[in-house]
Amino acid sequence: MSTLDIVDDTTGVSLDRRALRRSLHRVGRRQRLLSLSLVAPLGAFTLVFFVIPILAFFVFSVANTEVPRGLPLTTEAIKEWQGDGLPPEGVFEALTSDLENAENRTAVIGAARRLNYDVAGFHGLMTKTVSGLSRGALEAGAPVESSPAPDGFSIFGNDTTPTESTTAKPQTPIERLTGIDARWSQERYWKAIERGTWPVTPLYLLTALDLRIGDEGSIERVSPDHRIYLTLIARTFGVSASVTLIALILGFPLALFIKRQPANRASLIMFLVLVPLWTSILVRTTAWLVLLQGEGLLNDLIVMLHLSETRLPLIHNRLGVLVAMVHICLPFMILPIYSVMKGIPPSYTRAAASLGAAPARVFFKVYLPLVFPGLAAGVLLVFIMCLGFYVTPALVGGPRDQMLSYFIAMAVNRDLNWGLASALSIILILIVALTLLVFKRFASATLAR
Amino acid sequence: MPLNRNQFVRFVNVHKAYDVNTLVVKDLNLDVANGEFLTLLGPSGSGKTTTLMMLAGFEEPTSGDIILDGRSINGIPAYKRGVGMVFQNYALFPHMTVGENLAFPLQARGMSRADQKTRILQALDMVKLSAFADRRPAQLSGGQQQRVALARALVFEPSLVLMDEPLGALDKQLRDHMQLEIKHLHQRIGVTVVYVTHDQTEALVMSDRVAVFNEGRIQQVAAPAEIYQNPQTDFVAQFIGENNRLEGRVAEISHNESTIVLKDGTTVRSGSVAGTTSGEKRILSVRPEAILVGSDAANLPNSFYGNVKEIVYLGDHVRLIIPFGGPEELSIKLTHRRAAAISVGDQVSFGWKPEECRALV
Repeated sequence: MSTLDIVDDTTGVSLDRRALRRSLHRVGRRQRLLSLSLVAPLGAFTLVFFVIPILAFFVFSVANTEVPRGLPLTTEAIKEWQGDGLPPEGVFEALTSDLENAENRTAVIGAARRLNYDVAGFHGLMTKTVSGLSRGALEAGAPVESSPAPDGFSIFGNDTTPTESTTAKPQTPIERLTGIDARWSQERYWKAIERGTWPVTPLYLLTALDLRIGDEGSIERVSPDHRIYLTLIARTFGVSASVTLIALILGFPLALFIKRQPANRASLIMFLVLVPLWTSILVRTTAWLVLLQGEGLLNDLIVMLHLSETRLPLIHNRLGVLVAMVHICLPFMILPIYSVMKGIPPSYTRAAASLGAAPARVFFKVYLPLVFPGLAAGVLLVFIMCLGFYVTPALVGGPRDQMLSYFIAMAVNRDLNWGLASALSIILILIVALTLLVFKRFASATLAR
Repeated sequence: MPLNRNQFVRFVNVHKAYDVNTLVVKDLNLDVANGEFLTLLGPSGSGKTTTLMMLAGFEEPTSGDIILDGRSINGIPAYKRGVGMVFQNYALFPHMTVGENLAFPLQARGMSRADQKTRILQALDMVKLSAFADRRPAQLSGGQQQRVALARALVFEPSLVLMDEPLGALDKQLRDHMQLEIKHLHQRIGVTVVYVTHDQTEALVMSDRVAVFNEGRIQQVAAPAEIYQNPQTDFVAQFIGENNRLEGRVAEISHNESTIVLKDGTTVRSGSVAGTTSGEKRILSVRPEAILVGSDAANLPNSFYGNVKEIVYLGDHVRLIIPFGGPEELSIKLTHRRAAAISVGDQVSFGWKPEECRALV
């Protein structure tokens, strides 16, 4: 008998183990293919609209292609520079050539914008230099290929004041550039260009954390008046936590109440809880706008009842944001808690009471641990939903109530700064991931106890 | 009120209604003796579980008194009654280990940690689960969970333990085993047990006394043998064990016997039931195993002939079906040996003693 055979003790029939495995595999394959084909559409959807965009965020947040594309010669030449003092003359010459290359104008604008993210004012410097160079070329009798850089592309203020380079004597590239703007003799601008030639850049991620690479090359905090993002992250976290807590405080007793109602009344209340989900968040937020604004219904009522002499600021502040967000999130808190409560048979609490536990002990020692999975699901769901809120704070919040999403949208729509938008998105994703991780640890610790 | 050993638990004129239309429990009067194993037996909706819940404190009687150890417990919440309870689904707390489950009632009573430990070990030892203190309920089999639930209901040494169909979720073999185990446990520790079930075998096997419930009323309270052999009502006869029902009228009453005329005119002599008057409609009740067949039956006061309509094979015995008394049929329980010579269509002689048969309301 070979080792491949297995023998049935009772019948003595021997089976070829390998043949058995083969036929098992054959039978299983159809099943596997079927299962796979069932999830394939969703898998493809997720890949295209979820996984790839997120990977793209990661790439965008460190991408550093603008400077090599806009200033190819400079990129090549600056490799020779050791970083001490000013770069060698060849770099100045390369930059001059890059900036004079009119065919590459769009890419130069891109590079200028990218460098401006690193060192404020760089955009203006580039604009001024391009126009200065073309003017200089005009005076030197060179053929004019294009007008000076149009003012329109400057976003960060326009300092293209004509320089008084009236003397048309032959100049070295260093003299030409520093002649147009003295800032070219400062090391930090060249270092910014050098950082722009790195294969990847930490710039956006650092910016998103209120950090920058200082002139000495070390990472430092940005000046206090530029620090916005840490506050923003803390605010996003704080607002989400507040909304979650309020929703929990309001939702848990309601779920408990519904649970204690007779079945038909319970389903009616549950229906009422779910009705708001049928309308869009935008509509519900606007409704709060109508209710809470200075001339709104609630204020009318308050004034009518003489509860307050003046109309209260209920909206465009933190209060309005919390009210509207809690309202939107409440069903997502109640649903999981209620569904878990419904699954707990009354015999558990009865057993606890029959064993001599007073109502408080029954609640904290038996009922709460049993409902915990529902609480955890509700808290997690609402908290993570809140982290990504955009429309509601944008409509009912003031300038100091905007959350991460708002700044991501602003970076994309207004500043066209995809790198920063991606970096902020990644921070948001990391917060969510961290929340899940902490929660999982906490939840399993609580349950394992 | 003097403390009476036979009145450890008393239900006095207890009514219970959930709405204005139906009384779930009607005028319940029942005493449970100290140390007794009393089973409330009945079909679902008969009020037995409601009665248990009122005793546990999860339901309040609509009227009447429940007295525990000489004290009315109306309005006293469940957690202050000190009554142990075992539930149908065990209700072991899934987030606690077996040991923690058992510690729960002791912690609620503020017992010291060391005392708790001794008690828990004793209780686990009692149900032979000493090695399982650190397991979670989900890691135990149904029978083990059942035993933990028992241990938890007994660990704080209550004087009264209630059990609500505790064996309902177990398979038959395990149920049979646990019936005896619970019975022995009761005999050993002498606690008073009020046990609810719809399973008549369970009631007969375990109880000192059985209270048969139907439609909110107690039909009969008696020891198992009495319930089985001397059912007082048609319902009890039907519900406990198997039974042949024969409708007829009372023709004649003597000292301890009465004569009943069945629908087809057959007369049957039966044991008497108190309060019977002549001409009354009655239901004769005969157990299948009380009917004798063949020569044994020839000399009995109730002796008849009939043709076998069907023979049903039931493993350990055989059942003959014989049309009798008009529209009715008799079911007769026979051993294989006695049934060997009989086949369908045969005319057989059969009969029973008058005292084996009762004319019930």
